[in-house]
Amino acid sequence: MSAITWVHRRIRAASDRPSVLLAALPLALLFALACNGSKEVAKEEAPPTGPRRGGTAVVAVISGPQGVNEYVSGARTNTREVLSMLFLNLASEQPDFTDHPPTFKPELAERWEYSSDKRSLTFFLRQDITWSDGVAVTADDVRFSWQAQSHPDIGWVGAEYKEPIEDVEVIDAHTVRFHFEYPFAGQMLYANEGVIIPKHAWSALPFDQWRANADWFLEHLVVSGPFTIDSWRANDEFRLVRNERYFDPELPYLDQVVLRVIPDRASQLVQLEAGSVDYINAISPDDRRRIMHTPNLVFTNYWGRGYAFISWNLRKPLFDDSRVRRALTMAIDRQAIVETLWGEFGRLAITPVPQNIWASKRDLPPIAFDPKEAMKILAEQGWSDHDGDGTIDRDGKPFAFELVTNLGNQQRMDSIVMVQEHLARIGIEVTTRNIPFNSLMPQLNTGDYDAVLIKLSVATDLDFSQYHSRNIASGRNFYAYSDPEVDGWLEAARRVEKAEDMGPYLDKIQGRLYRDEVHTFVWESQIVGAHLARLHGPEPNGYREMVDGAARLEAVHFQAYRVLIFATAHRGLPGAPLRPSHPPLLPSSLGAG
Amino acid sequence: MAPGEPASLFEDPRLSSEGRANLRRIFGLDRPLHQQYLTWMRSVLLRWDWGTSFVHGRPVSAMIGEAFPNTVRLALAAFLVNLLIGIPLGIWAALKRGQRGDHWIRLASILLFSMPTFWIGLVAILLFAGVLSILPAGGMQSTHAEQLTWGALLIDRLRHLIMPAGILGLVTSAATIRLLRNSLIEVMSSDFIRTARACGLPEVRVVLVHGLRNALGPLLQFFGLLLPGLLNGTLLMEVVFSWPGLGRLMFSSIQDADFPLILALTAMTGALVVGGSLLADLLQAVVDPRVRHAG
Repeated sequence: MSAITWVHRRIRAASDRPSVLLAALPLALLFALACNGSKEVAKEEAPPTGPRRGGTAVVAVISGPQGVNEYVSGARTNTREVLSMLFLNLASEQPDFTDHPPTFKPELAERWEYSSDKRSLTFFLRQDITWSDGVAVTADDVRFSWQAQSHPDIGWVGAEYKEPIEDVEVIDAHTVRFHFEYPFAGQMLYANEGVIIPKHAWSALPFDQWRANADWFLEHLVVSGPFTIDSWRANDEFRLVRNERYFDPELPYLDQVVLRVIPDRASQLVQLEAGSVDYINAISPDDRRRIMHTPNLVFTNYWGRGYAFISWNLRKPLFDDSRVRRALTMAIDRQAIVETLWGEFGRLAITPVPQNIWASKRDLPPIAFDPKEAMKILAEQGWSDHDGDGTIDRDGKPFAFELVTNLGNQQRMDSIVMVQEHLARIGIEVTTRNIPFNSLMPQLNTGDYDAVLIKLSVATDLDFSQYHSRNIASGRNFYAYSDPEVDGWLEAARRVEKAEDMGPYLDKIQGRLYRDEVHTFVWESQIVGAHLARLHGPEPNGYREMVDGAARLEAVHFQAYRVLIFATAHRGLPGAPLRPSHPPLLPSSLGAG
Repeated sequence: MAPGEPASLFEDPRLSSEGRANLRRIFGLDRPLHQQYLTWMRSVLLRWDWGTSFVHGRPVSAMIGEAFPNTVRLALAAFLVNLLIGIPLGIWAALKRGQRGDHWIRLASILLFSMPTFWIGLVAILLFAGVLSILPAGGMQSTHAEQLTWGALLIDRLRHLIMPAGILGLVTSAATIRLLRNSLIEVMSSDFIRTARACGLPEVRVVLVHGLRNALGPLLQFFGLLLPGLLNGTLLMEVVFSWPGLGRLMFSSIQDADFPLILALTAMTGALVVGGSLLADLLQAVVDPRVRHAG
């Protein structure tokens, strides 16, 4: 086959990218002539034999893990995702929260039981699990982990989860008991939050030196999970290799997982199309549509546990009346926003509990888009265009405010412009501004904003304490919402002993927030990922919100057939796939991405 | 002073207000700004300790030390491409002033200079890595590079260097071409060039020895400033091609509001600007006797 014929075929194969071809055609011909003889030979491997053990999967990540010690590493989700491949939790939380509270499967602990007064929870550890250096995982490790999690000199971001835990008692080498201040539904979640770390390897460094010695933990790394670290090139590439002492001899299928840091989403996509990476787990709907017909790509999508909303700053007189807030919601064509930005990958959000979570109050109807009614409501409140300048006003003051969102998220930046346009139609003047996330958060926490469009992710413990009035001062309740009844329901929900019993309180809270129109809820969206067809097993689930890094790769594998081997391969042989599994607890979280 | 706080630490909603205050205490962010700055200055000047990254928990100097050689490698390769393209084309355009070749070179250099580098990078990846599959799409070396022999590893790394260095060199060569062309045109109309020609010197010697040497002045100034510019200007290439250099480090440190890292990188950039200017002045004195004698 001549070089020109070959290039012609390659270009036809890429015919769904006409814009690229226009730019690339002359150069392609030039290069083909220069590189005559560079041919790709593809062949089919042996017939299918199920999961193949071995291989290397290359996963694109936006940023690398920030260390191997969860308790002093950055809180980014991709760091936690990677660490969940190195270390085990006591139990594995399951993604079965759509119809009931999530259940747990044994992991380090083979079983657990509550005391009769439900103030203590005892875990019985498996006896066949060792660290990668052969030392047994014991109850001492569990207690040591709790001490690290709650130590003030370490300042772990999840330390609040350990506050209700009075003590962690070592009963024997494989039995450990958590003592709680009071019984509540989230005890299992709270006890299970955070991975178990090796006491024998890491206790040599005093807690007050942990924050400044990330490299020390890497040098003294022993793991209990399916993978361990083989090489660590910061900001570049992280190579994980199979932990030969992992308790399940069948897993992981993969020999290696390479996390390649590709900070630009567009570059990630291009590298996926080029076959340089096997898996990326967050692509935009636009990109999904663009590459949906690309051969050898498989797409995965699932509903996240997040919702985007406009939060009105209730401290501002402009937004202190729920009727005005409702009128604002009615004037914004949210359905149009969802369809424009997300298409089939989005839907209207109605309450702060996404519709794929068991406690969602699904019988609340979305507030209809009705700008005429909105204008009528506003007029009843005294907001009309008295001076004829096109902007409604009251007592000589125009209805004008600033709507902000975080810089870098295209959907949100686009959506605030749409909101601006919709509100302009009823005479409201909105200025928009995109602010870097690390600057936006302090602004919100101090109440220094008018309105913000942002996204929250909901943890499966369904803690909505951000609506409690006591959290206004700390900034967690940055909307400044205050309702004593809601405070009472939140506290009552926190004290129930069975998660199902939270349902009635959460119903009331959602109903009240809906009535008070604290926010304008805009969308819930799906998370779309893509991987090469040769990779099997990356089954995403709704438990993994904010997926910025690798899904857990333990059970991902390469199918033995359909593996293309390129004779000119600079890519190396293909590797193996990913396992859906037990990620760490992801709490209610603000998402920048 | 950049607003914000270390986002990847403080954005976690699990963080209670007490936890936030505790973290601020651990990092010293609860102290007045001037105190924080003086503490940092003292540790740099007295102990050459540039601090510890808030986000990574690693010494800043170690992080910069890892990224610096990668950026230097990319910047030097890009500089080489710049010279290889810019100098011959600059000379040629000057000698063919007003002719068709000159017009095309000037047009091409304007186009190159005005095109977004990241876009060129993405198109190049799609073309050479995607459609043609002849170059790697990103990174500094292949996934299995550790298993390669020394020679194969060298080739592998060179292949990874071709696209980012080629594009960066190509784009910056546009300025080299234009500067050299203008400077050489001016020099070639000087009296001493006419004298050289009148003495019967070959045209090649007139251009390359007498003309080029005297035309290099503005170019050397440009190269002096290009040094820090290349180191920081690799940012887009480093992001698009996943190249683990200083640009990427700066990018992520700003995103994270990782103040110790930002401070160190800013100080380093400042030093490079000063060093680059000084180097340009020294080089100019070497090639131009008028500068040397005036000094």
